[in-house]
Amino acid sequence: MVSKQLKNSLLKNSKPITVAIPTEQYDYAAIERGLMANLIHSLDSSNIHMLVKKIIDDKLELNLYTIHDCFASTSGEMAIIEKLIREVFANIYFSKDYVSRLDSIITAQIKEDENVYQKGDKFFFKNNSKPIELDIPKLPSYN
Amino acid sequence: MSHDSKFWLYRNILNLARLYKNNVLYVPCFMDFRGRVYPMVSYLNYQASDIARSLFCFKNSTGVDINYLYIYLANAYGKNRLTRASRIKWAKDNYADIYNLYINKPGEFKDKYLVNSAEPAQFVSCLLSIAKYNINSKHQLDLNSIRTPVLFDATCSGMQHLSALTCDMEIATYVNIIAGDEPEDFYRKCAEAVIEVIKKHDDHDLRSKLLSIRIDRKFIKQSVMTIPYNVKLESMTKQLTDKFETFYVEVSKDTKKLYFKIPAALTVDNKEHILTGREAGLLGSIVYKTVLSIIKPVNDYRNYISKIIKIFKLLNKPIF
Repeated sequence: MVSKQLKNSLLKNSKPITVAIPTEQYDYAAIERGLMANLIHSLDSSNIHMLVKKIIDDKLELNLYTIHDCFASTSGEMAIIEKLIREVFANIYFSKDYVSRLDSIITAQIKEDENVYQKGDKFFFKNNSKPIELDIPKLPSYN
Repeated sequence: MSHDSKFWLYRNILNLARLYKNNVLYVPCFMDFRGRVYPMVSYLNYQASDIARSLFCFKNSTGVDINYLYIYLANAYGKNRLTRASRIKWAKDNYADIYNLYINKPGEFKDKYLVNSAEPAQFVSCLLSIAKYNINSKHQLDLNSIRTPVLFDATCSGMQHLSALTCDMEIATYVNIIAGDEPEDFYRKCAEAVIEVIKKHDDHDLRSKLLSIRIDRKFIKQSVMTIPYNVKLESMTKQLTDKFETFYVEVSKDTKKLYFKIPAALTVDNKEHILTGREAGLLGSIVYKTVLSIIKPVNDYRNYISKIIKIFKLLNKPIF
């Protein structure tokens, strides 16, 4: 996106407005800035979606509203809500290895690109002048 | 927020609340691309300011757990760093005084409790719910009419998710995923670690200047919170130094030197102190490196993501 200021030509004293205009370029600085935040926010929203699903599946009638990572209920139901939140949080991480799955998806996207080819155990990007070896990072080891 | 903006905000919230008073209403919401849920309506919604949140009740209730109301009262007052047992004790010990002042000496209630509350409107809302509970219990009246929402925050949810993703037991303990006897405070840990690093710094002048700053959880929280979110050193330093007053001193005809005035409220001896631009930069660097060393597994993951993004940039492809 690029910002552009527009001014109303009919109203002389009007303040200019700024509009974001889509471009053909990806903003990798913005992608880098946003990726971790988006990952974390998608995880905490998963926590909420799974909590709501659990409440519906277990046919529980509970008061609940959420403000992203903050949970509200009536006092009499808060104990069970707290228990369910912990249960669901544990299920997110103990039943699936998200980091490895995300790594497989991302590295597959790189390796399957039409301009990427494999030679031995190395991957190269077809460049106009000279192929560039891709330094595909290994996922840090987490136990 | 300016006085006028606050006035119009509160006025809109209260007018809407008056309009919907004693009616059952639904708050329409939408989801963003991460799955986060937000209300579509402005002013009077359950995610808005303290005053808006204090005005909502659930339609139904299935009873009261008085201890949760006590904990919420303590939280709204700002005692959320205490253990649950201590928060319940604080609320029980102080309830009679708070309620008595609220009813009989509103001016004193305002000075002693209201202005010192973290979330004053929710503090009053919870106080009235406890009062109603006491009255209804005494006269064997319906307790299900107490439908006030009690809110519970995650400790530091970004770090909770990252510690679980990276299976890091130490960070998980700091952010209360693994329960201990006392609630842990990740930001306080970071502040303490930063002070220790400064104490060991070789430069005596810098050491004494930086130690004159009151580096506590409040000072450091905003900056530390953004580090897992890939914030860069420069941005984080700016967040820290935005708390200071900047001024320039002309050192030659074309050169001005940047200085920061640390307000007395942010210093250990309650006196103003001055930092040069370089010293402020070093403060940022110490905070940044110290926090990264505490969350090393998370930092490894950040570096991994950065390398992945570089490859996608080369391929000119989006990540999806």
